Amino acid sequence: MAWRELWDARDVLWSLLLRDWKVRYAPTRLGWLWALVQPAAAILIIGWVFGRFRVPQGGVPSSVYLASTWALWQYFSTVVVQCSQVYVQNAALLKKVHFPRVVLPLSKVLGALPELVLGALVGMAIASFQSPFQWGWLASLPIALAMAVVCSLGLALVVANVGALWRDLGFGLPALIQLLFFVSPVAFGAQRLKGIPGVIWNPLLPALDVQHRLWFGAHTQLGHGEALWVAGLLLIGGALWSWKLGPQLGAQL
Amino acid sequence: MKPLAIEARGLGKRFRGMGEPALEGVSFSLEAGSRLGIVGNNGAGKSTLLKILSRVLLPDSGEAFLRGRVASLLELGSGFHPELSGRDNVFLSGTLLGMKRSEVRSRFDEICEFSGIGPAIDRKVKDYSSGMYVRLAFSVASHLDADILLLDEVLAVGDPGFQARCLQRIEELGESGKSIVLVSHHLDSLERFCERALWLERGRVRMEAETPELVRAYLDSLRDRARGETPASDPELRKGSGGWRIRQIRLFEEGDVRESKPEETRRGAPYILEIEAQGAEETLAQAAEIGLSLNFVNERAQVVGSLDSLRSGVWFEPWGAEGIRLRCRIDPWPFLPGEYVVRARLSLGGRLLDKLEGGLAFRVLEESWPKVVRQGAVEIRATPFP
Repeated sequence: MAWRELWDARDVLWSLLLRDWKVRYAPTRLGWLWALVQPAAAILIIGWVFGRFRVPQGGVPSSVYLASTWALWQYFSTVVVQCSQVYVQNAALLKKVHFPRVVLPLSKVLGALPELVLGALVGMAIASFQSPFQWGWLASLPIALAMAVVCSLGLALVVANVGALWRDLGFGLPALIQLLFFVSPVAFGAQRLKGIPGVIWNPLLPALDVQHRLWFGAHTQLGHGEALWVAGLLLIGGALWSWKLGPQLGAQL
Repeated sequence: MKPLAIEARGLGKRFRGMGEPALEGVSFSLEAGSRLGIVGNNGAGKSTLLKILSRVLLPDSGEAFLRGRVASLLELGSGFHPELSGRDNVFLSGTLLGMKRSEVRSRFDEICEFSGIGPAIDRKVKDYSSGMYVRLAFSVASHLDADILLLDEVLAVGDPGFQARCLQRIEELGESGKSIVLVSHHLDSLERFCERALWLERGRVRMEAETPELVRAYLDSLRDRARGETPASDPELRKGSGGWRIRQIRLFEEGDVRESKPEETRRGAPYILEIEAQGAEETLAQAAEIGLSLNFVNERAQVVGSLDSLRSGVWFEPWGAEGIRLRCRIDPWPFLPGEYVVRARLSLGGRLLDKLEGGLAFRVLEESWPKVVRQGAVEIRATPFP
């Protein structure tokens, strides 16, 4: 029943995606160029800072490390922040029109993929200045895309529901995202996270670590099993919760 | 007997923090291809009922079965985004309301033509006038391919010309075999479209009957309530931020000391209107800033005229203890024969202080001579122009 309804709503999903893509950069002058400028600026600035502190990265320059995973990290944090507000922002719609509610967080999870691809390409371009370009980088892109959706979808659904029920999330989320940044292998390899309790349960870990392995062949001996379990549980829990909460959202908001 | 398009059994809904349930034990059914109107005061549960039928709200109790594809229009322009072009918005709104993108594509020309927007369809909607916006929104809505249409007050927008086309379009949809549920304050349109009607009062079904019969009963009750001695006692008729309360509205013919039969008036005679209100003592100084607006509603529930005290240059003055009073002359009494109810609002600097539905009811008597042809509600007088 629920699947059938979701499948029937695919045109709604597509319309919402088109809306978001057309509107996102509409009032700006640079438009979609921002999808290139933003990751470039972030990689260069954070890479420079980490480089100055000489964080040891096994011979790989900091900005190259960052270049391999920044777009993915940016994707995760954007999707989580957007999903935390997606029901509240669309409250007017939810109170007047019936459609499967999960379409809204889904549209955010899929809607950020173009920026992920563009950001990854920017990362490759920056990395190729400091180390010889490798075709493997390009090959890692489809894997990054798939892992991004797998690791973020469950989290996105849960965060969307929490955001609809407790507005407090909007205030607490920035701190949580910052914490997540430091327990995820973004600016440094996963081996540096060893010993931090609970880090293997971070659902974002596999996607980021797989990128590092594909780019640098780094063997971190950090298992992905636990994190994938968490991602899977979040997905199942998030889906069931959304299925239950969805029809009530019209009255909740 | 025809198959049923809608079957609602014992629908109930209670909102958090509200004492009275918004809906309680509402049951009705609608045969496929027929049209049902829903009337009731504000807060009677009309919108709640429609939301439950459209599956935007879950009922706390009861069930509703809808057979066929449902399109519900609880507002115009659902999902419209100002930064998108009219064309993109047609697709967005159309799919949100239940169409496939391919269906919107095949109907696009029709939608565009009905809206009369023309080449502006590719301009951003934020540059549209409100009239254009409404026209485009209604065009999308009225081209939905559904078996059951749920409509809420959508008729009450747009300029009169477009409204007439909307009504015609809804009539066409009804004739093409769609089942329609229509919530509206326009009793006229309800009578035109709907064979049957449902009257909700405080969340319950007060009456379900053929539309003309129900409209008559509904209007009778509005008038009865307006004639009551203490209009202020019925909280359902009151709204506003409190503090100030309209205590009494009186009407008498000028020079008529006996104040005979205040509710029977004569067209063309001079009348005195007297309104008393009550408030906290410390706010009495504001009396002159308090505005009064009166809407005169005829038996078709149409507002036929209104009076704004501040614009007319009449003021409230302190009157007795904790009271203020406004007296003004209306000369000549402009209403044609018929029955009228007055809706009064008190406001202070844009803030609504009190609203009283039906604080006064009066009748304008038929005249023997000159015979008035009863067309419309207001007399328009003319004098020779050289």
